[in-house]
Amino acid sequence: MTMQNEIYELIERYFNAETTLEEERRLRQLLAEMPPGDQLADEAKAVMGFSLCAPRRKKARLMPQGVRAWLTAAAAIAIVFTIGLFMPDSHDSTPDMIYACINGHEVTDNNEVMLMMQAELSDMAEASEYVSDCIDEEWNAMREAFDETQQ
Amino acid sequence: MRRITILIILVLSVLPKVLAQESLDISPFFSHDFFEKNGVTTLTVKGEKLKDTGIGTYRSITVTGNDEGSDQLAQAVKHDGAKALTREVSYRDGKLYFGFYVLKPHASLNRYILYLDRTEGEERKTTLIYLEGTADTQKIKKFLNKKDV
Repeated sequence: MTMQNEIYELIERYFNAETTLEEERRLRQLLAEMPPGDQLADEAKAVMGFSLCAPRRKKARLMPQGVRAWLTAAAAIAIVFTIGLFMPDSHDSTPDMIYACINGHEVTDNNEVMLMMQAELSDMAEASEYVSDCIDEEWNAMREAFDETQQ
Repeated sequence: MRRITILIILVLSVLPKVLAQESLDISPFFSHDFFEKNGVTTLTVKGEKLKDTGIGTYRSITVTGNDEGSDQLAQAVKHDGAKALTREVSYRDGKLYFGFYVLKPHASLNRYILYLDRTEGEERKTTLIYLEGTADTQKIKKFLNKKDV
């Protein structure tokens, strides 16, 4: 009996659920050796989950395990560091905190604290405006003086 | 090896936060030791109340009628201001009157210092505001001029 005939016979018995374990094992072995292209054999391979029979490829080790572990660690660090560096801390996620202390005494009224904050900002805005006005004034004086020298 | 990797990852996760608190010369003024001094008022606002401002942290300290404290504060602001990316400052009678400093960002957060030294009644009043968040300079200036925060 040729190999092909043996395979066909085993396949037929397999599909009829008549194969013994030994025959099934033999069929798998024969299918593994058979090149693709034969319709019946390919069908049997698919049904039998042929990949299980295919010789396992050994994973090629491209680098020593130690080096790989260090590279993995380095990659993980790079990812974490990049995320940490560029992901802005959302102010929405900042836990709420409203606190004031006057001469060592704590102020617990949130509205009072917010009013104090507004007063501070108002003072700053006023000063900022004053400074801007001074700059404008100085700039105008300089320009006038410059214009006079040009006449 | 896996343990070392996890440890390194944990350390690096915390590192940006630690770096964000890079020691500024003004930092000691936000300690409890300074809060308890006479004439010192401090404010800290974080979270919901600052929603939509781009500011995550608002901290301020005001020193009233305490020349020594005011001078120390001014000195610290000048030191930190010297390292600022940009500054708008004004001096009066040889003293720093107003300052707006844009500090170098840390952990992708922008940082700002505002300083004002004025006299109210007969008392010298110095205010320092430290802001931290994602807001850019324009947004900070808008925040400054906003009456209702």
